[in-house]
Amino acid sequence: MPIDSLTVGDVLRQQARTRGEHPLLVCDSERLSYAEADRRSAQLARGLITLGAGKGTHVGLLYPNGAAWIVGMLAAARIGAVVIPFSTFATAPEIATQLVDSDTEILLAAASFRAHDYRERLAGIEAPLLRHVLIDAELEDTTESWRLEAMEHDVDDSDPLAIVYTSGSTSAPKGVVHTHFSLLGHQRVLNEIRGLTAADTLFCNSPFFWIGGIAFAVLATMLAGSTLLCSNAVDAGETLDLLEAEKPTMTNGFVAGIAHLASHPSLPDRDLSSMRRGNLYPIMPPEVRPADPELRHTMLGMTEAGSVITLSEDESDQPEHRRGSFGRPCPGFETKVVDGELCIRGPYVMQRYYKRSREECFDDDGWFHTGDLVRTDADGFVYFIGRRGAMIKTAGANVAPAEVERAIAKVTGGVVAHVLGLPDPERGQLVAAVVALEDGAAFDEAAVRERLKAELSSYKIPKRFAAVSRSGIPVLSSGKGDLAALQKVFDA
Amino acid sequence: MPDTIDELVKARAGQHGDKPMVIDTVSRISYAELDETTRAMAAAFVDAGVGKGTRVGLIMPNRVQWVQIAVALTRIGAVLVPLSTLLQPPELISQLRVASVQALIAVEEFRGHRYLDDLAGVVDTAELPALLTVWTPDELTTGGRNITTITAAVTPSDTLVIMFTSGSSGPPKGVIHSHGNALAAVRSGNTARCIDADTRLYLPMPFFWVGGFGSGVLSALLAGATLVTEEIPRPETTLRLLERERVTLFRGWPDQAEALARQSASVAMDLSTLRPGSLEALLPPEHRAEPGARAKLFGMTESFGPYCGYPADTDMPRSAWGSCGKPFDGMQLRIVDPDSGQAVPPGTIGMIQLRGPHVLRGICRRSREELFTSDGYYPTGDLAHRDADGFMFYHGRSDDMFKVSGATVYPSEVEQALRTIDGVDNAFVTEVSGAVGAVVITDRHVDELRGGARKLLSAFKVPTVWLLVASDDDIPRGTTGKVDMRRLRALLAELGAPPRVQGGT
Repeated sequence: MPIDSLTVGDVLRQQARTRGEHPLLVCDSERLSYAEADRRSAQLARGLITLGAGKGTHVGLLYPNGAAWIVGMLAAARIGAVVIPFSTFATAPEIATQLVDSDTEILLAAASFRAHDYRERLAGIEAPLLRHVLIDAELEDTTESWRLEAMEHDVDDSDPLAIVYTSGSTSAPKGVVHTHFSLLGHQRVLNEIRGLTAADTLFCNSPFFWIGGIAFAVLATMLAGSTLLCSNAVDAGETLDLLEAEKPTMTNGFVAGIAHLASHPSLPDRDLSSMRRGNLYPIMPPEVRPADPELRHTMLGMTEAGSVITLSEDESDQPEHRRGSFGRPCPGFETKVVDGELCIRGPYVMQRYYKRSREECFDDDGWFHTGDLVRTDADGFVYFIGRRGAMIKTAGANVAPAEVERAIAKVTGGVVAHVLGLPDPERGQLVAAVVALEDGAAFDEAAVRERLKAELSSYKIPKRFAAVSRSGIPVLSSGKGDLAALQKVFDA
Repeated sequence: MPDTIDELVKARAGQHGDKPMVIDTVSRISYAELDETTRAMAAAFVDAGVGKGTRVGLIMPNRVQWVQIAVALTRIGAVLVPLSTLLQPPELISQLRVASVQALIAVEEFRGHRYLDDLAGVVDTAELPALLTVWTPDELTTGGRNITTITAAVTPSDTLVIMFTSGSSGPPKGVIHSHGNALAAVRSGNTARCIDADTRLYLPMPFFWVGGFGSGVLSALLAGATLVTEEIPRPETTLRLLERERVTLFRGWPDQAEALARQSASVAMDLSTLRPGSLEALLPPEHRAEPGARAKLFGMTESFGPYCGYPADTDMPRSAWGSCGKPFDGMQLRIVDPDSGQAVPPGTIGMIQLRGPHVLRGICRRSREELFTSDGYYPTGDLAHRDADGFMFYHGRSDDMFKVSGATVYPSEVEQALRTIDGVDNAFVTEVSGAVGAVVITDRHVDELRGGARKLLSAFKVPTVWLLVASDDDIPRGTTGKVDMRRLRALLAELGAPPRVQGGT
């Protein structure tokens, strides 16, 4: 049944009415049906209203992937409050900075997650507009039900839904403002292309607090009426058990985040044949894995675009001339390439960065300059070259880190490397690579250097290598390297 | 440059602490007092749960206290929603709903309106889901809490105000302006409007419209000037106020200025402090300009007041007479063909589109895509052409424009042509069932008018339905004095099929 008005509340009500008992979320031992999501979020919403929340109130969420996160997001969204997701990795100063920048008024938080003790981390934190910090709290609910219902009907799809913080690797995090329509309208189109339907179960390892989670996993699932499967288990065996039991049909997320599953000794004996589509190739059944991942379309996305900008519905191996393709622009985006930089505009692009005017975020004609350097081929497929700011300038030449990273992966059979520029008095910068090794593995620098000569111009071949065990590498869980920390690897 | 209300008020209190900021018939407040009193009022608002982003409605006639409440709210980042004192109950409820007003401050009564009684049945019902609190001005208190960190959270990009347009049919339009865009828009026009720190500005326009809030309250705040206003202008009281407060700049309504000029002659008032830039009728003859020589300031709620003009005390070049001057610095303006959306060359009439850091940020409950072109322009619905020097000539609303046998007729163009014919006092043009209709105040015969019009206009623009009347009393007008085009059209329609003529000899 089509959903005319695109607010989160409308989508939730629709799915709760038509497929209430269907699971929306399975997260390890936790299950949340659409009907429960509706009931629990309504109760929390009434509690938030009792605290004075309503349309436009900024409600922070600090939970790991799970039912509490989804219920919190739904509760805020259905009364027109603005959801501010916080990273579970954030340190106390990072949380404080985001609380201040986002003008969070109410923070809903877990007491702890893994080694993170949020009760301790939040103690003593102050932000001028923060009125309530609720740690795993049951809210008093004295709100009449007519008021909740009326407030829900008062939400428009042009109202802001969320301020999602970028996990920028170089600059300070920025709050990206998206409306109900910009996120839901976009995911509706993406669901068509990726073929996510009510019959699917999507396994995803993206954190909900980043755009790939809130939009491309949670909201996409809700729109499709499908089931989202995720796992916080530390033991890879438990996650694999979950995958065998729940039989996801699709996968999505960061390959780096499932390396421990792919390398688990039990993997060959597992029946993971249900996973037919998606991009977590190393754990998908051999017959659907690409011979060469470079010959599959990948996706280009960013917080400012509300997740994915380019992709392809074609999940088959591509001809050699399409190696490295990121697919084509998603319908709804206008795109153009100026001096190599991808520029986008359209209804799915963010409204603006929070606390900045539109004029500070867009050019005069309304284009957002993504900072992503790309080229396009005659068929309109887009190829990512690198980040504009991250371009390494060495002895007058430009080197795109991503290109070097791909070459290293190719000559080593898949070793993940992070390539960066190090200050150098003679060259300006020199190309350096931090390679991630399985524990105990050895790295033959001379051999890799020799093989790279066949792949790269000599100026692009890293002058310095550092080998670090995979677990010790300073990577943000977005998969992006933490550039400052990576540089320090070479200081030692 | 201060780009939020809080920064602005603090800066002006530092520079002009003792100077009166706003004066009404019974009270006055200095810049220093404005800073102190609104700080205390804001602290009480914070204690009451009003904060950044809270939408607070205000219904009150022009008073010093209106300015205090507006400043107190906006310096802590609450969103001011000024509401017209003229609203009838259904209109008031509709605007409260559209803007999701959460707290309302309303005088109990003004000119027969009892706002709180109007709302008695709908507060705390699903009609107004957002509205939780209603205060009368007497119920507002002060607080001692330090608001420095709270005001520091407000940035120029945050919403300052939701202003409803006074205009036309359709659902009410709540236009959203940020601190940054509103202050920049007002700043861009202050020079042309001859407002500086020495100005004592009389302005009776209601604060709940942009002509009062932007061109009055914020203009004075930005310039460090003094604003003189009153709830209900009447010639006797206004004259006394102008004299007592040594007003230097009169920016009231033209007919008000004429009435005051007639009255002042009979009661010997001293208006010698009035400077050029004031409305002409009140200036001594040697300071008056010839008709058309001074620019008609032009703007709208969406542009937060005038965006086009020329120094109000200076004649424009002869070729630009009758124009609205030029767009102010910072305003990006283009004129496009209403059908194709393509920019038109100088001299061609088209629709004005605006963009840039001075224009609206949005309209309540409308997406950007509904409001703006993909390259960011706001279609104003106003028609104009620009001459080769960039002066802009207004040609009415695009809603008024119509087609006759496929060709576009701009009523204002025809009206302007008719007004140049000898013996024509005024002319109003509109569509009458597919034909060009004209109501003309004149003592001439229709054949003379038709002949005159043919020399000035392409054949398809020459009116075929004529109603000739003797005086302005025969023109139907609404309560604000604007011509009631609907009734005018009805008068013309009564004449039957073209060609048809009534009146004149």
